Amino acid sequence: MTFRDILASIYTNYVFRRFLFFLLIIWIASTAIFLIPRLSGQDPVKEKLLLEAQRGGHMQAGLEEMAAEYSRKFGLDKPLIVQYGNYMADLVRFDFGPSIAYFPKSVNSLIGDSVIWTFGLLAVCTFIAFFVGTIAGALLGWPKSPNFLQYIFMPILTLAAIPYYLLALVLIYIFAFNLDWFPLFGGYAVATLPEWSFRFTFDVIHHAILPASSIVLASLGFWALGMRGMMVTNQGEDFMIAAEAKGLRSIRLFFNYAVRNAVLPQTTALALSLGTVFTGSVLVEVIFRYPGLGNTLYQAIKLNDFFVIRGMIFIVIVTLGLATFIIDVTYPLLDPRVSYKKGS
Amino acid sequence: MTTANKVKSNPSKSKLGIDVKDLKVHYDTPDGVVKAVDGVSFSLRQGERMALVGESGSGKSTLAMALMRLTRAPGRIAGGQVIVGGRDMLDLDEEEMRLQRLNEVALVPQGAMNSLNPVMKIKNQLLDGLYDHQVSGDEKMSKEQQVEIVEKLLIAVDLVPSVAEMYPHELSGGMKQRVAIAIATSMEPRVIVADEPTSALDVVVQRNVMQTLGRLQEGLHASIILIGHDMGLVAQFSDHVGVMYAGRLVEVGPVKTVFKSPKHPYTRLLIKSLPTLSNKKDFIGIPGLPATLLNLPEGCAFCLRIGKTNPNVIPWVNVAKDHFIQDCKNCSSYGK
Ligand SMILES: Nc1ncnc2c1ncn2[C@@H]1O[C@H](COP(=O)(O)OP(=O)(O)O)[C@@H](O)[C@H]1O
Ligand code: SF4
Ligand SMILES: [Mg+2]
Repeated sequence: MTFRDILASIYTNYVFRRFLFFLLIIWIASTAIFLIPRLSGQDPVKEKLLLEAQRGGHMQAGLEEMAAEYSRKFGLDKPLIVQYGNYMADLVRFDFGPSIAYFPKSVNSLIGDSVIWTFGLLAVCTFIAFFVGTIAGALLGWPKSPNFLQYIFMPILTLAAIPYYLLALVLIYIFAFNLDWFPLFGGYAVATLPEWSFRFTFDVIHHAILPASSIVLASLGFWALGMRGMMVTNQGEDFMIAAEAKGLRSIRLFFNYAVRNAVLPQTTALALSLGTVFTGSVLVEVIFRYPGLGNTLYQAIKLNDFFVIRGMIFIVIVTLGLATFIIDVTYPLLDPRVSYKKGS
Repeated sequence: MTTANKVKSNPSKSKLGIDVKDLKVHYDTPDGVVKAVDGVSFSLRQGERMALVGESGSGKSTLAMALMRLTRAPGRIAGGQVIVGGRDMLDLDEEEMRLQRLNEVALVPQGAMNSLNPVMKIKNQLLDGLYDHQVSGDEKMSKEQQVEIVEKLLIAVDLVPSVAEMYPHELSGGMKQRVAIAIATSMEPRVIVADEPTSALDVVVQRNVMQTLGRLQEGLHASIILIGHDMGLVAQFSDHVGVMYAGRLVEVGPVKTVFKSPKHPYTRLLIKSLPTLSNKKDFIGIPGLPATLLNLPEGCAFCLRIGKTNPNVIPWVNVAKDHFIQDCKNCSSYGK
């Protein structure tokens, strides 16, 4: 076996171990989601149904049918261990059961409808904010940068101090309400149906600009400040002084020495931030009435739609776990000091 | 090696390696100006080695960085000349100075434990300095050339060629310092500044690394300034010694002469305080505390330490061939 082969085998082993760890986290978390509501001694399903029945509203007709469906589906009369087994079996098939509020619509279809909106908006915004913020921070933390950059970036950094939902309200007030450049809310025009056409795509982008701007502007400062801090710290490191003593060109000092090292903690933060991409901006979605997961979660909490909430929590856990898994597997490629050694 | 790409200004016209004249480096602090290097002058011929000793805080590292013209805020070079290859480096523009580094003056950094880029392979850290000194118009090095150069540089510092593919964290402290030496000598500089190059290593490794550094410096016929707080070790590897106190050189001379008959009272105390086999028990410290360099009075700082005052400007006196001291005859008998 060559040196390369040995490395490769250790790497695959490492990846495999990390993957098992990822599954373990999800298993523990799902078990917690299963147990905690039961520990409270209350049954959210029964409570919800009772509440609706007391109101004597329009749900009266479907009530018996629903209760029967739930009892059958979750075997609530069966021992806890059997219930747990059924629950896990459902999870493995990504079946989160029916929604209570929108019965008989399934949690899956509710989440499925909104996931693409959130993912599109937030993943794109997170990447834009990460790249622009990191570049701005790198330039701000570099002593040889021209001074005018300070004047450009500093006001942007102060935006980091403003909560993104406040920024969203300000943007709506100025650009949608006063100037009428952008729509006030929604993911697409009310009268249209989602389809793959140029007009619809344009409409979606038009609707996304304000929510996207509030997310990007508010998080830009976070990335820029983090990067600037690391750049300044690195500046005092021995290897930076030694590199300058080598008479390297500024551009190489900047990219291969300063930025290359300062960006390491940034990538960890990026992965974690992508892990919360589905729930990271509930408020922005609510304010803009954006048809994404955050809004769905908000509605579910308002309507006490237990299975939707549970499905969302599960998704958050899986994305966070996945993000951690991706960091674990890719980080050694970025930082040779973190190696694919046993037990690490 | 890369000699084809080198533009050595004024090739071996003078035998002078480095000539430092009245160099001043000040730190502007909120409490006032710290004169960390205050009028230091010395010169070294090519191939000569000078040990620079003095207590911690006496300004050795500040001087080393100024010799590379790498003084950073709040520090600034407040005056003087650093002449290498017939040119005063303090007069060059930034780009000219950049090209001088590594090519004419090279640094073996202090605390070599962290002086390499942690995320870069050793071979690339050996090569990038050479790339950035290639005269424009030169074609890039071929792969074979790169491998050959890296191998040659590593072997010269007693490392195996496979180190090229490693990262700094895979090397021991001594190996890292050898890499730092390989980098510093990669362009055959005229002057090498080594700031406590072995202070983080254990004694046996220190000696070996010093021998490697000495061998390379001799081969290149470069001048070397060897900084160390451990007077015993650096003096062994040098032919001249400079003693610094409170930002000033108080005595410069051939190692043998200075050790046998130190002229300045501070040097005398420094030598007396060295632990030797015979007098391990009655270790003599230096009385008083090192001077704070803030708002130093004109004249002799050492007098203040030993409880005297001397407001005069201290003359620089030639006491023997190549042997100079700061002396005003006020307390020259102190410590005898
Ligand atoms: N960045 C700085 N700001 C202010 N003073 C400094 C700074 N760096 C060094 N000094 C002062 O300069 C003096 C010399 O420091 P240094 O050159 O590191 O000494 P040495 O290397 O001999 O231990 C010290 O007294 C220290 O207080
Ligand atoms: S007073 Fe004069 S002799 Fe005494 S230490 Fe100072 S310079 Fe030397
Ligand atoms: Mg020092």
